Amino acid sequence: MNCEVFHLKELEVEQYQIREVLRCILHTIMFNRALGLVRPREVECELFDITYVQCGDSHTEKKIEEKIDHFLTWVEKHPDKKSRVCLSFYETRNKHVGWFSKVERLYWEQWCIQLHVLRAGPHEVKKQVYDGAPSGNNGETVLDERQRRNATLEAALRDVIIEVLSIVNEKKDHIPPVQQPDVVVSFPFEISIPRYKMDGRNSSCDAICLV
Amino acid sequence: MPMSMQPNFTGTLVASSRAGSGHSLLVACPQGGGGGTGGAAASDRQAEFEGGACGGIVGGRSREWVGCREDWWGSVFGGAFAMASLGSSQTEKAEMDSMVSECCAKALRVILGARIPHRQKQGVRRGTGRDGYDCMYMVGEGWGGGSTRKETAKLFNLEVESSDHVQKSVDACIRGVCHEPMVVDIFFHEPTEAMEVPSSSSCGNESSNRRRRSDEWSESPQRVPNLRGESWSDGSDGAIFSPAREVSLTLLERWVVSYDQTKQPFAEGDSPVDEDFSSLGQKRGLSPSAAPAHNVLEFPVVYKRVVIMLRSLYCLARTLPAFRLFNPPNSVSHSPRFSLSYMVSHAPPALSEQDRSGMTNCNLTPIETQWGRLCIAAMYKNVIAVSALQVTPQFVPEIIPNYLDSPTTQPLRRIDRVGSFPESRGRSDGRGTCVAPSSGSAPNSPTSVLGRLYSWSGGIRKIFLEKQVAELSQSGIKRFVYRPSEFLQGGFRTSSKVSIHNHEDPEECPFAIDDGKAGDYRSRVGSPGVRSKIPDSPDFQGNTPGSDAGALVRILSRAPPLRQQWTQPVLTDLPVSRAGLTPYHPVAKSTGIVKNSPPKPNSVAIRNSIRGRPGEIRRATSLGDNAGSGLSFGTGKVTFPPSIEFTLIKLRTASDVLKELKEYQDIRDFLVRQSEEFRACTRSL
Repeated sequence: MNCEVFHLKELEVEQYQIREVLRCILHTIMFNRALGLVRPREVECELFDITYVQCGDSHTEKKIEEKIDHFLTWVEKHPDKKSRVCLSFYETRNKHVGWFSKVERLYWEQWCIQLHVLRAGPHEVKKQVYDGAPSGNNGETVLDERQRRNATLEAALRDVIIEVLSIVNEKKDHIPPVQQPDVVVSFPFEISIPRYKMDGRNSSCDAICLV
Repeated sequence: MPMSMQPNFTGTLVASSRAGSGHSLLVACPQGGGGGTGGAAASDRQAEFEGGACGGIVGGRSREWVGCREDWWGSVFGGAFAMASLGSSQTEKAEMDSMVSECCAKALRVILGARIPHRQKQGVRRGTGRDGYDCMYMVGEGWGGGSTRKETAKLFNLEVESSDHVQKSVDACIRGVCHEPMVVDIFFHEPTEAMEVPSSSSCGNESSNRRRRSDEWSESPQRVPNLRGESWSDGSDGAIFSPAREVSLTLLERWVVSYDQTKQPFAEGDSPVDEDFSSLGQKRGLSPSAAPAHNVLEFPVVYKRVVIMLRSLYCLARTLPAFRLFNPPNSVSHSPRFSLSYMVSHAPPALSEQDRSGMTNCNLTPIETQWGRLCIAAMYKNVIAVSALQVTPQFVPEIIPNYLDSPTTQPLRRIDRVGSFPESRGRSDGRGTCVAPSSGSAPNSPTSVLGRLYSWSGGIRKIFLEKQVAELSQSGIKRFVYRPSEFLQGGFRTSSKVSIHNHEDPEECPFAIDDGKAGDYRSRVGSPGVRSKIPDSPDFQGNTPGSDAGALVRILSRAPPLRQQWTQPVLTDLPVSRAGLTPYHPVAKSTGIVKNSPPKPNSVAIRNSIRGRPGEIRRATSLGDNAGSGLSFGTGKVTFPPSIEFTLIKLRTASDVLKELKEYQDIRDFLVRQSEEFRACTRSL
């Protein structure tokens, strides 16, 4: 079975926006891939005028929050970097190798959320403030710029959600049969975040198995 | 096709039927509407499927689970097909038609659930007759509607509950018609006056009302006056929508759920997009790519795809701009000044050019079956058009004038929560929140939930109500971005950032100390604070403007009044210099009026006192102790030790004031330097 990989549109976010952006996208994907009986829960974003839907599975929500926390920790150590958070769905199969058998994962779908974390340092604010311009203009410029960025991000996030919905509907052939009909989240998944190697290159391998 | 419908809404229910052409149903939810009817009879379709053996459908098929459970599946479909022979094409087709019908019903519930707010999700019907509904939202009868309704609510593994009127719409529109597209139009209009109540809106006698309705529907329809761009065809829908005055309707969205059985399952190269829908408006990214379906999809696979499609529809309905107008009741956008309506029809009127302009097309990928194609498409107004329709929020941030002068406020009140803004886990809004209701709540009295941040300088007073992050997320209160320019007075602004200390020492001003984290704070949350030059005054060079403001507050709070009369001297926190001089020289007139003289030599005294550690600031009791005589205040009578010089000052000139100001500025600069030195010491440690 082929693994469908979907690269979502890259988003430029500031550090304080990462959590809400990831929540919005991850929960939207999970809701569309949780084919068990769900009671949808609508959640309003705290930073944007966007409402996303959760599948209502507390275990899933907890795992997503944990992973977002890990990613935020990583971002704090690697600021101003482009990073990627991947949500992957897989099947487990027992593979017999000689006398032993091991559980093998067959990934059939992967969603790559690409984020460009911007760093708004204090120098950026001070520079615009102390340049000697009249007092009434600097603050407006900074705020206007921030609001514009926020509005841009909100529109981009909305586009990403619609992109997710489009892909979810378009690509259905690769979805495996549901093995556990009584479970809300029908397919096991994992969320991986980047991790720097010794040579400084990005590698996405810090994954936590979430079943 | 005869149809019996009972209007549940005041003068706005439109239903008509005409054999062979489907029907249209216009439902509006005006404010102050009255009239209610009894509960609708059970759906004939549901009754048709109630009971029955289970397993008739899936028996013999592939047991791949596709999301349907046998018990539910059997209750819905088993009754009709229990005895059907497995594998017959007619049975399969009927099965598919049933599933498509249920899919349409579910889609309608999903759409209306995201567009028609209902005040009560659970509860007893308010009553029948004129008092059935007392608000603009239809009061649902409650979620419980019997086991069958619960089962249908869980169809396709998507538990969607709907109110009664939605259920009625579903029953009416999908009854036996799965071959015609179901079109749901969402309108926005502002019925500023209560809608006319048809005389027959009461439901004393259900049957008689039904008859009356049918009579009305059979009449020639009344044209709704001034419907923008609308051209309702004659006879297709009986409009008893007769508002008291002009009403402007704005088409927000059009949802189309269709099951096209005329076309064969498309071969390779055919475009799966229905031209009728794709040509309208601008195509969005959801236009599906050509997905050839050479293989006939089995029923379970089709079912699984329908499940996914409905999931996407659920999300899409909450992503489109119109959802912000129809959020749950805790949203501020709900105002009684606007109402909404929806129309479900199978033969909708053509859209005018005006309606088409500004609409964006959004189609979900169709599902190909052996006998047709199931499509869900949406046309919606873009964000800008919807934003223009949004009503003013119920409360707007405002400046409360003379807040600190209010007798109910205490400028040095302790603040409960300190520093939550920069420390929140990515939830803080760097734009700064200002949620000050214009009426209702009392902003002058802080609660245990709300912490108050006072930031003022130079006569500008503003209040920031800071909520805990959890409170903000749960309450659903929208954020209002403020700009310091809104609070601009005379070209002077201060930073909004204040450092609040949850301290025990009442002497310390809340804004006093710069803890060295100002830079981190700004970088993390992007404080919108802006520092600017004070006209005709030196800059506040401190790293934390809050600390500067705090120091100034502290000084000003202890400054002697400019007026001659001195009402209540504050001497308890007077710093006593090492030289033993007090910063103030209480003066007393022979007539009993006392006044503090400006601290002419005090700048030196204050500096001396401040050079010491804060702990060396002694209380005024030492003054009294040293003086050897008591000081009584509040009685207007003050006795001073003989060492204190009495000076009679009647008038203060502008030069005195300027000189005093200069002294204060010197003190401020000194404090700033002290804070920098202190910070440097702490860093070195």
